[in-house]
Amino acid sequence: MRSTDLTECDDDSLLARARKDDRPAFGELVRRHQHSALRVAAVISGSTEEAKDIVQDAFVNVHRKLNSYRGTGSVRSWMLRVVANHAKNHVRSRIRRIRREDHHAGLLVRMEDGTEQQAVQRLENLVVAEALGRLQLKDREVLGCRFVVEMSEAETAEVLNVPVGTVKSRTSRALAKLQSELERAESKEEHS
Amino acid sequence: MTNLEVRLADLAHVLDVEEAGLVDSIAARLDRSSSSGERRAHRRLQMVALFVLIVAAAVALHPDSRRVVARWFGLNQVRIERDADLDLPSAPVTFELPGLGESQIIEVNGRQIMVSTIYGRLGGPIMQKTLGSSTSIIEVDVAGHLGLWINGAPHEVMYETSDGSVVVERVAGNTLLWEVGDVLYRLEGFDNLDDALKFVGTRALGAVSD
Repeated sequence: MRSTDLTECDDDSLLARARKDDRPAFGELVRRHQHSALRVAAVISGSTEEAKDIVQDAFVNVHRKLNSYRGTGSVRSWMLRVVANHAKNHVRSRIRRIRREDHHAGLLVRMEDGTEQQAVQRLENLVVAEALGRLQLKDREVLGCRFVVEMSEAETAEVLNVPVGTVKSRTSRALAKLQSELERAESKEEHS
Repeated sequence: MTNLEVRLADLAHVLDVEEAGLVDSIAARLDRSSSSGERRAHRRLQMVALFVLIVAAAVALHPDSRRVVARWFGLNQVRIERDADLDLPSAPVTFELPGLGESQIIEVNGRQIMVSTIYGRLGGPIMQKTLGSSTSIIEVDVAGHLGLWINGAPHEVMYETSDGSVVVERVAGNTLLWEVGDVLYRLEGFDNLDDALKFVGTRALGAVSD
């Protein structure tokens, strides 16, 4: 699916080619943004397990909507916005379906063999991931975009379709909530 | 970055999400559905246009059919009025979409804009329009949702008066329709698509709320 020259094309060029049914060009767009897309989907949906399915559905939808991209933001932001919307709709449908009966796996961290120090680090990561997963959707999505995917405030605003000022205020509130959640978890751990 | 922000950034490298095979699985899905999908999308637009023409013809032929058509569109409970002398409030920044089955007229930069929320999908019956030769329907992306931009006028909008009778009114407003789940949103009165999308975007009307 990959050809050498595609990796040198910018997103706008790839999109233009994809619109002309150039499937490898679309594949390169997917390859280029799948890392961010999977993390946006995981954090918003609160499930690493379901992230891949969400992104797959979203990118198939992106392909269907190629001609509706109007160039008002970057191609990447537009693609990630579709992913974010799919993830939100996924959460809503899951809530309707099972009213959050907690059978989805949550945000999981890869646990690999390594040194003791690495194992401690992974546990630390897991505590943060679990605390993030317990936050409300609006808090998760802004923290996921800003810090896990490392988007700028402007790009986060585009992806979440809210003003930059809203991103700033939501980020501040969400960080405070995450801090409280971590302190609560640590306190619980100490008393257990 | 604060310590907490760094801890969040660390998650990017350790979250257990599997990238392998994603590109290929998407390519396989597109291969399976591309030709049939394109045909479906094209057919959907054709069906919308055909439906519109059929409805327009039915309304023109028999006034009683207007009531039936209104029921199809879920407009029986909707009362939409236009009054040039009405003192309309300007659209506030935090403007929210009307409830299901409701419509609201607001003023945006001196123009009367009608916003409606309808139960329905773009694949099914949508608002009736009479299509002139210059009228066009194009598929658009509205904040990540499927939408249609119907422009070129003239259009007809059907509404129910307070005494229960159904009136068809000719208006020149272009219309943006977009679906979120089973709900269809309708925005009428903008001159061009860019302004309509900007209105949707700046007020986050296309955003899915949790």
